[in-house]
Amino acid sequence: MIIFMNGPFHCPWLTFAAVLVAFGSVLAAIIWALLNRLEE
Amino acid sequence: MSPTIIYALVLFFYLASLFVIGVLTSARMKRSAEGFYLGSRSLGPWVTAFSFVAAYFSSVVIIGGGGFGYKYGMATIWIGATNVLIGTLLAWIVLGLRTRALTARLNSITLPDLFAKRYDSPEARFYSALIIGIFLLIYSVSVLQGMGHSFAILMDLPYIYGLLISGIIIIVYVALGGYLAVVWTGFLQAWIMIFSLLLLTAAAVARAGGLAQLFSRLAAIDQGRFVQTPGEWGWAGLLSYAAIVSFGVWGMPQLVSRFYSIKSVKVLKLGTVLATIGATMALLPYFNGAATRLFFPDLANSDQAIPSLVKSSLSPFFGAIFLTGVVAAGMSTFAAVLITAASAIVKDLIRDSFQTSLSAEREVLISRLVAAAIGIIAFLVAIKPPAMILVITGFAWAVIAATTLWPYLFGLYWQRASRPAAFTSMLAGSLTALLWMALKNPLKIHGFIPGIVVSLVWFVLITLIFPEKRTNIQ
Repeated sequence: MIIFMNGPFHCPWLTFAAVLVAFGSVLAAIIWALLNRLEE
Repeated sequence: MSPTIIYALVLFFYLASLFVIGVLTSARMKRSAEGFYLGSRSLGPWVTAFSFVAAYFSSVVIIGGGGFGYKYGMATIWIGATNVLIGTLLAWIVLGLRTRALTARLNSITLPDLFAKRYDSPEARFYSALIIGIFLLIYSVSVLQGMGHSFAILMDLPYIYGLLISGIIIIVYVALGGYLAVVWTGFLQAWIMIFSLLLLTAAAVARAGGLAQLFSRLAAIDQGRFVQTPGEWGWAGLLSYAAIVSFGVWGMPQLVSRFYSIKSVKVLKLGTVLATIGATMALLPYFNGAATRLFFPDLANSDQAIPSLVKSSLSPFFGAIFLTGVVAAGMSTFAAVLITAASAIVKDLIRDSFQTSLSAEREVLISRLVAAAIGIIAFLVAIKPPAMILVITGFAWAVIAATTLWPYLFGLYWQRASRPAAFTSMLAGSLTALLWMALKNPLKIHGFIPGIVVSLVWFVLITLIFPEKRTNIQ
């Protein structure tokens, strides 16, 4: 399966996804704050 | 200059800055309970967000998290990722706005006080304050111990010296400056933690010959155990641990108090972004711990992973900065726990539950004395902790979360959530978690899981049977 294959820096995709989740959260926080600002 | 002198100088400079913050905030603090426990709800987004992160991650996360990384491999960075997503981003979005609005409207400054006013339930105030007071004290012993051990491991100092150096300073600045001192020192401490973890990560990656080399070399040792997810630990262990240390935050009074003390709802949005950015540092201890296996393949004790990496990869000056980061992690958590435990005992138990009338000045004085007393008790217990304390410590988070999490969350969102549901689910959740511990973790499941499951089911059932008729959450 693709998730066990290596992604960036020879790191398996499923392990690398943790980094994506963490920085995806930062992106989500920014989007959430911007959307809420528009509502005000 | 000898490494010991460099370590001592860096630490002295850091501890002196904390002391100065304690004195400055003491001068600025308003002499009232809200002033002492919440900094008069005047805090901006930066200080709130980064002090949240500093209180969240203790030195146990840096040293112990690195130990997990070493033992179970790169898959453990998922723990850090869930800390960011569930423990920080979702906690701020789901709890933050409503908590700020509701606590301001009900004029409540602590979690037990919120229960009392939201549910019109003095018994919920009494019970939750009792649980918070007792179990935060136990948690603080483990945080102190973690700090003492960090000194011992990184600086070759006797454990007791580490306890003494850090313990006394924290007790002084918390008693002097109250919550303002806790958050301002926490703000400084968060930056030291972030900087020192980035420093170590850069050194580890450079030493391995780059990120790609690092992963290839680790895979060559054992791809399945140390690089793949779930790795050595397996799904059950990894997921349940990640859930506890992330979802548990939702019921931790020393962390959610950041939502009451922030200046305004508007500021809270920027705070959410900043806290999420700061929390990403949680990935680094696990990553570095896993990377240490390349350089030290056969450490007997996995808690030695981060100290070994620090000693072999950083110069004494940067090693001293890293030690300061570890100490900062422990101190900020201990200080946050101390002020919250003091608020539960003085404001919720002595003043409100036992209806003792206190002038504002007198309440602040008693709060200072109690904060200092809790710190001293924790310190004395940490000198030679009995085995029982060590056993219960692992459950401190579980028992507190099982008591507070659902009454808090439903109190914000479910209009019909009722007084009998709140109080009895607190009893059911905390007793289940404690009983599970007494039975020595049947099915190898941590007490947190049965504790919050039982309190959830109980809360929903009782609310459906006895729903609240009038409501004060909107």
